[in-house]
Amino acid sequence: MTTDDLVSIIDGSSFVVSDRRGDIDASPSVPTGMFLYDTRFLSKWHLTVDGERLNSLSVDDVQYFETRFFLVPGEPTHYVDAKVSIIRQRNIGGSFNEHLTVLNHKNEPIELTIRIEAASDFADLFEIKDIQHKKGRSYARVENGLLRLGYQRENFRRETLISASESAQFDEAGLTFQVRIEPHDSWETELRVDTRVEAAGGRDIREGMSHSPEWIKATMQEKLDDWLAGAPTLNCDSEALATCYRRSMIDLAALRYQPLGATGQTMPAAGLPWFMALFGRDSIITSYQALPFAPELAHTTLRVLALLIGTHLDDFRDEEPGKILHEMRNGESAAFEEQPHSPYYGSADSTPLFLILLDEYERWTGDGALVRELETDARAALHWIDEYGDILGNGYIWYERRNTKNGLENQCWKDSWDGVSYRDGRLPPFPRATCELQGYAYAAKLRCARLAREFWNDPALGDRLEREAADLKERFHRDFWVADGEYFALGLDIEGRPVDALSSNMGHLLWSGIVDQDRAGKIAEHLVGPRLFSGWGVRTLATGEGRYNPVGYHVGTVWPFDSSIAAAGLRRYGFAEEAGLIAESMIDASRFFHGRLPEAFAGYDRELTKYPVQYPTACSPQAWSAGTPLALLWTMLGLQPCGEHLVVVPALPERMGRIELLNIPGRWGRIDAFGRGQVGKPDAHHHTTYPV
Amino acid sequence: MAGPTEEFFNGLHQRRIDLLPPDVTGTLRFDLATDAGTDRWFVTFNEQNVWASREGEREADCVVYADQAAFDRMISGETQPASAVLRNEVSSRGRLPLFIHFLRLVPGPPNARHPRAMVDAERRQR
Repeated sequence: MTTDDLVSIIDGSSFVVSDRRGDIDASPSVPTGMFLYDTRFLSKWHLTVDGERLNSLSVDDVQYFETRFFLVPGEPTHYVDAKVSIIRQRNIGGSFNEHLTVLNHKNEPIELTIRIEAASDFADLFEIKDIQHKKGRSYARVENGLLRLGYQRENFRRETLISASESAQFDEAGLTFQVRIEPHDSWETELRVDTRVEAAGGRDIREGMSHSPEWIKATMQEKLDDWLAGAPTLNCDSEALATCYRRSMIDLAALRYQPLGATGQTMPAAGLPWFMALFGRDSIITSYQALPFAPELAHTTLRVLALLIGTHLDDFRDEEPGKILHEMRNGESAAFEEQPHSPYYGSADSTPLFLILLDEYERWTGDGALVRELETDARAALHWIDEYGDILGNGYIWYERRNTKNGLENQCWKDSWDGVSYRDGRLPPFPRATCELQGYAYAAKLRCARLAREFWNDPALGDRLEREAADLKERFHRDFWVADGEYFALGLDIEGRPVDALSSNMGHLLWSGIVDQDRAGKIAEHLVGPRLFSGWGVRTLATGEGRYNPVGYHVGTVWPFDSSIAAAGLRRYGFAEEAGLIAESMIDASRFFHGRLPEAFAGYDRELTKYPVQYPTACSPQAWSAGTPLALLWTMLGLQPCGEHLVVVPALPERMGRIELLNIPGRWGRIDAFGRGQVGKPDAHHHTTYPV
Repeated sequence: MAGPTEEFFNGLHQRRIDLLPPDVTGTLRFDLATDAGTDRWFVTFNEQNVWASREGEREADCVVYADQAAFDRMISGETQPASAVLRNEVSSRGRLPLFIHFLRLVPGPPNARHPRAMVDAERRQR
């Protein structure tokens, strides 16, 4: 089964993935089932009529939290004269509800046996690919009008409760309805699946969350309507842009995740289905991309990540004081310390990215109160960069895992095992210092220098950070420059040699501002040159490199978010035409995905395939891919907060035509931005918020 | 002889803790189940100052429940607090962020290494 054959509904923290008839069969390759907080609560959910499985006529994705299936019994070859059809309408939002309508198309009454087979393996998301013998005990109990499926290991207890509005015969494997339907009449029932995560005293752990009155009162639809109403309005000539903007805002709504304990506040989860959890890097970058559109995401992201900032040395979790988390999970494997995600801190970029987001958030919103509130944690994060990030004590951020059992080898965004290589394909030893980490550290220091002066009443810290940033920049230009290729190396190895592959990471360098203006032109050439630019976006690794593979996860595919950062970086250094090319190509690509950019697509040349080939197991929707059209709008319109004002310096590709973005929220209240693509006249405005 | 819990709370009392944000204010109550009944402690934060004692029954912003033995394991770094919560060995009611801030005062696992120490050791081995 590929992800294309699956149907999902989602409500931030919980989601249901089924086949196209609405049934769930546990599969090792894709996480099908009903999930909440990294645990599968339903692994089997079959609907039968007179013992027969059903077939799908059509599926209607009403909303991200609601789907309708139109079904008939029997094989597709003879369903044409079906005498019975079934509408299966489901939604999720707190509980999982399924409304069944069975229609009798005959001229006579019929009697049917309608059955739901249900089971749960309570698998941790990390077990899906390799279901182990569970260490706890499973049970299924028929109670009064209820089937209770449960799993217990010590005090850890998870339960699924299944009930129906119509009278049913329950057994330990499901429930059965004996139904008589009059001619041309119908029968209906409402199935309900509730989940329980037990805390002390037998209460549900999410009890605290339900204290938010907004959360209870607002229906899912209202929440979506409010969200869309709060976002800026886009009017534009490009239909593809309009489509992917709307799709992005809806997907970001779907991915709004309520961390346990953050009452009523939501932040972006990373992606469906594997990454419906808190990720430092993904949540930060998505919140950043969305700043001109939904700055409240950044507010929650910053507060939650600060609350969970590392405070100890912990080898299993790769935790150090002041480090921003990588990934937080709530399943059995985290509970019993078999996996380190409680939380896991194995990323070297989330800490400086956190500081960058804090500063940029204040520039947009004027929310100095948050900058003051997070001062202690932001200082700890700054200290992490110098004390724990700089493992070799030579002024760079390095990473090497201490958890060698199930920690991540690569702790940058290209975190697959082969994501960092030399030109010839060899993998460098550890520790490793990838280039974008240094750019982030540079930006974090400069930005915090401003925060130190304006909000923390510490100009001495501001001076020190600026000095350190200047030194870092100088050092970086000396050590990372690959002279024979005229680009910045992907990284540095422990001997101080450049890890000399040509990669998309340079886009992040422009975005961070660490690049000297006189070297930026070469970087821009590479980013839109034939080895890195596929025609749809920037390849993660350039063609011709040892490990280049157009379908390799981090070694040749195109990641939309990565391209959006490159575009922002190019614009920042005045390369508006190059930025526009990437923006336009990516928006073109979105047309092949109904406006929903996937996590990644293949790095084949546009001329070769004519359409972007989706990476086989890519997550979709994926938060920072959903954030990409927003970031591209930001780049094309040249939005830049400047004191209490929003400066708008549009530079649109000609084919983009007219763009109006109305009601951009910020410290100015609401402001409109306009732009129009002009023939051969890209704007050469330099974004110089920070010295470059 | 004072057990680990008592030692831990006594060690917190009247301390100033820099790694707590100054605006973290409030009272936690700990109800620790022992064979002899409930051992109750109060911890109050105010502007980076901490008070911890058994005395002074008062309204708490957050109540933490655990078996004494499980709590002992948590405060000695033997088990990680968030995992203990997920396992439902330790649970809280009320302002969860206050409990999470409290956890900053709980020591980490023994024998954890500074990244520099690990890399230095590796280099010496080579």
